[in-house]
Amino acid sequence: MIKNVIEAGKGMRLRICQTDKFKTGMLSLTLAQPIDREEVWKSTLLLSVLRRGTEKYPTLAALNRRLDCLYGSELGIRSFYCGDAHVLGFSAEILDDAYLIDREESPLEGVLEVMCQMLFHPLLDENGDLLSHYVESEKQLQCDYIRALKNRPRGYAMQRAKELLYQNEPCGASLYGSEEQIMAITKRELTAHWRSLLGRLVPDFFYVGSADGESVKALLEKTVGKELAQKNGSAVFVQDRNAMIRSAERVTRYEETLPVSQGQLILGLRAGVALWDADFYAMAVYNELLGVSPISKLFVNVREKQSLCYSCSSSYHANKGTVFVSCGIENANRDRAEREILRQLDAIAAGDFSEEEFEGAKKSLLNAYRLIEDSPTAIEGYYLGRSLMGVADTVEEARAHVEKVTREQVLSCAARISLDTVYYLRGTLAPKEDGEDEME
Amino acid sequence: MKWNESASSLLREHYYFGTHKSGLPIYVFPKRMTGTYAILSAKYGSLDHRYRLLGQERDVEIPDGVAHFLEHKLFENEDGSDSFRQFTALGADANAYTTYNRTAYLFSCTEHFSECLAELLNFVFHPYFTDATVKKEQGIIAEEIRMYEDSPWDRADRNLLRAMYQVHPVRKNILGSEASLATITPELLYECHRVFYHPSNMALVVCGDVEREEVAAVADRILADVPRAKQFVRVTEREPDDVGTSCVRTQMQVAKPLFCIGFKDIFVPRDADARLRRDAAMSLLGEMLFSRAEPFYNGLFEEGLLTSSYGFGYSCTDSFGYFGISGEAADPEQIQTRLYEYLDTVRKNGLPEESFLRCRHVLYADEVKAYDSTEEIADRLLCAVFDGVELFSYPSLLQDVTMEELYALMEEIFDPARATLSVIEPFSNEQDERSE
Repeated sequence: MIKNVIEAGKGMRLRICQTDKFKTGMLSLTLAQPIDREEVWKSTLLLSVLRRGTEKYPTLAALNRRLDCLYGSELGIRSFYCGDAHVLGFSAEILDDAYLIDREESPLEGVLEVMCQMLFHPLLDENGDLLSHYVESEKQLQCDYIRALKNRPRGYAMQRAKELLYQNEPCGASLYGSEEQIMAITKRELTAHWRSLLGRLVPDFFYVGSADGESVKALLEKTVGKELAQKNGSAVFVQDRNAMIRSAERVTRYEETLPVSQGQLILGLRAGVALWDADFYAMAVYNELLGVSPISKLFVNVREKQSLCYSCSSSYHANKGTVFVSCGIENANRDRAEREILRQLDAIAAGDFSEEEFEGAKKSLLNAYRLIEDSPTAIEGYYLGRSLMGVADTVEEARAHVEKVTREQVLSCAARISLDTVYYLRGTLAPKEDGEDEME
Repeated sequence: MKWNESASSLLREHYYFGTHKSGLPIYVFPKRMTGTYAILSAKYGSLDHRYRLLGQERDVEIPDGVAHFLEHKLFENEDGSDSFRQFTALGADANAYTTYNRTAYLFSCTEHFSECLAELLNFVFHPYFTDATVKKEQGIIAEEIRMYEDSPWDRADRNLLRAMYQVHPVRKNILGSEASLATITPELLYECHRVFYHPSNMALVVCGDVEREEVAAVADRILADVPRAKQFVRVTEREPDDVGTSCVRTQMQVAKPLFCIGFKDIFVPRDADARLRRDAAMSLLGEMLFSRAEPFYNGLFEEGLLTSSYGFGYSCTDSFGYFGISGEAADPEQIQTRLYEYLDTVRKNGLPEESFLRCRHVLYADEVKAYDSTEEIADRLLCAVFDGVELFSYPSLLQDVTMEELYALMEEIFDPARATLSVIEPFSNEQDERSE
């Protein structure tokens, strides 16, 4: 699979994976910049306002109808952290031209036009400000969103654990801000933020599909190029590799409560190894061994042997050099679950894993890397993330690295793991007898 | 093995199918992808709670949650090995799930396909249960039940079905309850396996870069000694047309009330092809009435009455069907009132031709997209097989549905007399305050 970086006019970069493997391709527009605690939540809010209406498609209904006409090209906004970068943008699925029923217009060109409308031509009032109705409505919705995070106890617990572990790092800032911050911002301030972003940043694009690089480049220059000022080039985001906290100084424990029946236990670990480090692939194997596959230490011991939970798993956040372990348990088992998880960390560090488990972990990771090539969004996710972190490994190279990981490297990774944060979300409701609600 | 072929020129895809001598229907869908996906499924789910063996006088009643319990336990083998381990050793990713009407075991792999398939057929057809392994699973599933119990959207859906249906087993929790799990024994699991896990009550679907001969060869090898089927009939009860309750409310940890409005479909056709056509027509009608491009959602959203947590859809099997609309709103009753007003306006003014054509495009594109994923293809093919319909007929049915059909459907389905509103509302007291 080919991934080229093409320099398009006015500082735009296009990453392309040209393939006829898929019936539906994808296009994304990305603006990346260093995380600024005071600004991230504004950018998140701004994106939602931009998705509400533009000069040409003034309402949400008009925008969605337009996308429907482009064969329902799902167009979503996104705001997320990648290392110390705040990534903003749009992504859309695009039906390949070969499957169009009527060939009136190309969905790719149409989607790009809608993205340009949203980014450069949102609906403005007579003073040149974003529309008050949209700003006020999205402010309310962002507050609703923040409150509704608790509707999903597992996701909420994970988010709280991250906020606490990263509290002194840029990505500890909430992407959504606080209700006080949100309600205080005016349409004028948000409009100024929009203009400032446009003045600073040039969008990057990622395309997966059957069109060739030159024609996508020409299309970008035609549609987006005219929107950009002559001066080209925003600063490319560069991850500060020294900013990473390599190990925990002490363990900090937190407990909160929620009126739910299951408790959520999260352990935040400093791995000391990031995506750009030589030991990255060994750490990725370590994480598989710890809590990804069904033969992982956590699944086998915490779930299968101890019957403490339905799910107990780990995830490696290589852009931050951290590992999070999570499990949903009964309150009475809280201490036992923590001890058992820590025992498994110690077991791996002591070399207590079989050749079968070690090879299984590598194979499981290799399988995951190979499957990336079967999905346009996975391809984009992999290469966009790597490029933001300044890592050039292709999926093929990544696999070659995994093959070479040794037991000794995994042991050395295990020795670097340090426990940083223990977060427990205690459920305060008694579980229902038969699990069912009363019917009136 | 004798193979037949089915093809779609619209989707530019084809698949092969045939019946293995063991009685197992096998489907092979060639797809040039890196990964191969295989799914082996029994036509046995939570709805199958009562059956009668041929020649017997008495019905056998199965406790709630057995199909799902069986799904968890089949991965353990008599020689002490665990099939999850075998799959991981082969570099494959295995999993399983249980629904109302099927239990499925699956894997995706990028190498060692034959060995993986052999493992799949082996463990599913060779059960092994003991008192100790059964007991161990009860704690795990109890936590799985609690996980769903803490999910307000799941609770809204479950309560909707329990309120809408009076006797139909769709009211039952697929996972069962802690009380029903406690009654499960190895003997019961063996008996259900003997009844429902016969090749003729199952299907194997493989999608990926594989040859059908390879699949047949593995089946020949592994399925040589599968025991004879126990003939059985499913015992079903007659569900009244009326909904059980028109409104059900529960308090939970939610920021704003969540709602689900369901319309019971009492005209679900017995004939499989007619049912598929109804499904296609309902999908189109749903899109035309309720999508995020249409006036219903946009009106309420612009007024601040609905948030962006919103969805709708039609589900049906051969024994039940309903249309549901769900969302987040401060005042769910108001949404229901506005919904009825909207439907009345549509009845009076009709649906625009423009929307009909546009929504058909959207559903067509959704359908095409599904054919980029081996998992999605295999799951769809499996459902089509169990429903007794041709997979590839769906996109042409979409093109075939007429406006007149949609108007008739609207009258049949959206009858306020057969609607139920399920609401999850916040606790009335302040017990959800965060404590440090």
